Amino acid sequence: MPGTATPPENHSDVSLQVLQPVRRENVVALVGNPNAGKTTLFNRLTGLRAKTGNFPGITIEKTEGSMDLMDGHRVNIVDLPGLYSIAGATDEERISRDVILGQTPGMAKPAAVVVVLDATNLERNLFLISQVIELKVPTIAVLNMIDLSRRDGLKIDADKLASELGCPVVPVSARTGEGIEQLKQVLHLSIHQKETDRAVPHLLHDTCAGCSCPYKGRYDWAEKVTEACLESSRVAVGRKTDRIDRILTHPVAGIFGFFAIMVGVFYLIFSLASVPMDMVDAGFGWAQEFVGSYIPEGHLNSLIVDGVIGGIGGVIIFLPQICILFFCLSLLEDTGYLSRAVFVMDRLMRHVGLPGKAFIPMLSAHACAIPGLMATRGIEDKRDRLVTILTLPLLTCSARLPVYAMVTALLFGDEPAKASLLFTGAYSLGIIAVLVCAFIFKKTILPGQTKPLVLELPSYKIPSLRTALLITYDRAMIFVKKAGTIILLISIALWVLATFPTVEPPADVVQMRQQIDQLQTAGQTEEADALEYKANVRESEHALENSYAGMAGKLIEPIVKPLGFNWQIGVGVVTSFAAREVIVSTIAVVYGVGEDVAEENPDAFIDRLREARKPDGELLFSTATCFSLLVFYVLAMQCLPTQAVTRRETGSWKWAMFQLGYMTVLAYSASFVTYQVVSLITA
Amino acid sequence: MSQANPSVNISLNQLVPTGEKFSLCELSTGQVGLIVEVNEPDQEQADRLKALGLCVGRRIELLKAGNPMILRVLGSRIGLAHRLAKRITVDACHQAQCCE
Ligand SMILES: Nc1nc2c(ncn2[C@@H]2O[C@H](COP(=O)(O)OP(=O)(O)OP(=O)(O)O)[C@@H](O)[C@H]2O)c(=O)[nH]1
Ligand SMILES: [Mg+2]
Repeated sequence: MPGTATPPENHSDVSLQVLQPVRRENVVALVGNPNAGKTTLFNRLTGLRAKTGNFPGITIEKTEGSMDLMDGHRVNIVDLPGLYSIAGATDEERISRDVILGQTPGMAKPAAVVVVLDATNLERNLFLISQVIELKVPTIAVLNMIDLSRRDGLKIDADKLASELGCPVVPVSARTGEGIEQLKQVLHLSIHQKETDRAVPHLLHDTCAGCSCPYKGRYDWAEKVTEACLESSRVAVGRKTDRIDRILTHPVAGIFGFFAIMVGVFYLIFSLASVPMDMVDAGFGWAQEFVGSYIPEGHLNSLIVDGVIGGIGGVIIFLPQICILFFCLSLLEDTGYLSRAVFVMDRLMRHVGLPGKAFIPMLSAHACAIPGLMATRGIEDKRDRLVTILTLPLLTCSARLPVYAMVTALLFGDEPAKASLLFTGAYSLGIIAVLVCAFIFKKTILPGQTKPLVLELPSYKIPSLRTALLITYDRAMIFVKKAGTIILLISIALWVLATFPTVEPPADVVQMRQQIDQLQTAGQTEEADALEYKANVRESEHALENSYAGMAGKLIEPIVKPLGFNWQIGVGVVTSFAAREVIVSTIAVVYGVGEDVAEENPDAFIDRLREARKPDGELLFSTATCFSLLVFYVLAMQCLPTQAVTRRETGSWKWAMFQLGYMTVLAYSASFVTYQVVSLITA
Repeated sequence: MSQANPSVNISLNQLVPTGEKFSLCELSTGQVGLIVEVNEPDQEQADRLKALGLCVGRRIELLKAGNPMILRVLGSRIGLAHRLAKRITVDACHQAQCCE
């Protein structure tokens, strides 16, 4: 394997002694075709963890990081979104062009522009580098993925390529680290030259000698250069991929394949997560007991144990599921399967006015709507992107899992088959709602056709385990941080609202307490304990009804009654407005059960809910109410951060408000219909 | 006839066009064609196609017909909707010629 290849006339006589000291900030820009491995190289050079994946268009915004050269000089590295051309036809092309030419405000002109070439697909990649070279900027070509080109039997003559391009060519593998040291040396040389001394490359052969179509001339040039630099005769590359694709992109088999893969991922989540979830649960239960025993009984004890530890624990328990989901998705993403999924789903989605490219954001929305909304930047068309943004939060995100889990436990506590069907039903309802709403928008406020699909399908690759683990770790930290901030604050606020103002115990409780005293003096401790428990429950119910939360609940009651909710659930709906998970902890708190009971003994919590009755003696969590609650949480917005991101991504509050409005109306009506219908059936 | 599979170890560049012009949609799986015209009225869309290699003078191999279809151009695989493929005219190369 040839090492660093340097064109004959450049760099050859530069020695370290005559190098100029660097004063200004040095910038190195990474450009290249989508999926050429720019971000992988960026991560390798800077030690950062920007998102990578075997799908064109993962990086959507320029990312900056820094790297120290051998002599300690700091260099700023800028990773740019992938581009096929830099002619300046689209916004992204102009942004990248400005960075390369040093016309971006606040960013110095790059000391070197590193063009990342995919060695397994040299011809198409050469198109872009010829455009960069013609901008007359100091260029370094990185021939990435040589581990793969070697495996495929492609021999590329790097010296020859260097003389054709007139710039240094460094073969590397960003994934394995091979060649990175040489790249650093080349960067070192380039950066230590005075700006005026920096060699500007010249193509050995002109790309477009008097041709009419600028594209054609450039491609002809790329073809010739490829021909000249490939030592091996052209071997068929990617035939294995083609064979796999025959199945995975088949109109029928492809869709089955897609569902099989998704069901597999869900199955993994549900089967693997239960053990770590029990451990987290036990851990928090232990923490509550431990901390509780050190703080004297009273408001402070209750605040820490119920409000803080209980509130966070109720949400952190879902961390294992989230980790497994992200780990699987990341591995899947790295294989290159996702663009095939886009390909098969495009057929289904375009009928309702959603572009096939909406599929990827929608897939990540199953973890959380926010990264999903950001990923919509990969959709070029404005209308298509807006429809995707508006409908995407209907998909089941991980914050809905606690609600689903609670309802499932209430309905089918010990029937796992029915429980998993209900879960699948809830997920499917979200997906159907997206399709229906997108179709309605297409017919009403957002008419027009979706942009037709043009998408590169990269070759399949072996996924990187390291990447998957790192992504999982990062996502887990985000989740934990949310639990430690927003959810913690809401839990504390809720605790305050449900505790104050404090009232005197009602007459019947006072009476019960007297009875308890009598029983105890008579030595009937068992009866006394039972009565004590009843008295406690009654007292906290009374206290809650007269607390601020109780008063607010009474106000809400008439609105939520048609859905089969009582005021306690109504309070939950309101408090979970900012974050859905809160409904579960709210219901536990407002039921006077106390978070600790729910945590230490989940069955007790669910059992109590199951037995809870309305004033008229009917079961509160009847089948109809449970279904209604589930439908409501599948469809309702109930997430403040999502709203903020919608505003940012659409540029106005108008769409964020519209989204909140239509989702709430949808959730309310669907839940109303569900309640009425299921009530009729079960009556 | 022993080399029935034209796609193995043959550079698309060696194929000779026949002079028969078709819309890209009319090609069948496995066929190779030389692009002679790209008639996409939406300028941005047209630029995107060209930047991907779907431009006059390039040879494409249809890997899988359908909507969307998969084709190979410049060594990469592209999924392309029927609506866009309609706009692209190719000069089809005969299979027999491909195998020489
Ligand atoms: N085997 C191998 N895989 C690589 C190498 N470099 C990158 N990859 C993989 O190629 C895929 C694309 O890498 P990215 O770094 O996300 O590519 P990118 O150029 O940033 O892509 P966009 O941001 O979409 O433009 C990922 O699956 C990487 O793991 C390499 O040298 N060898
Ligand atoms: Mg990237």
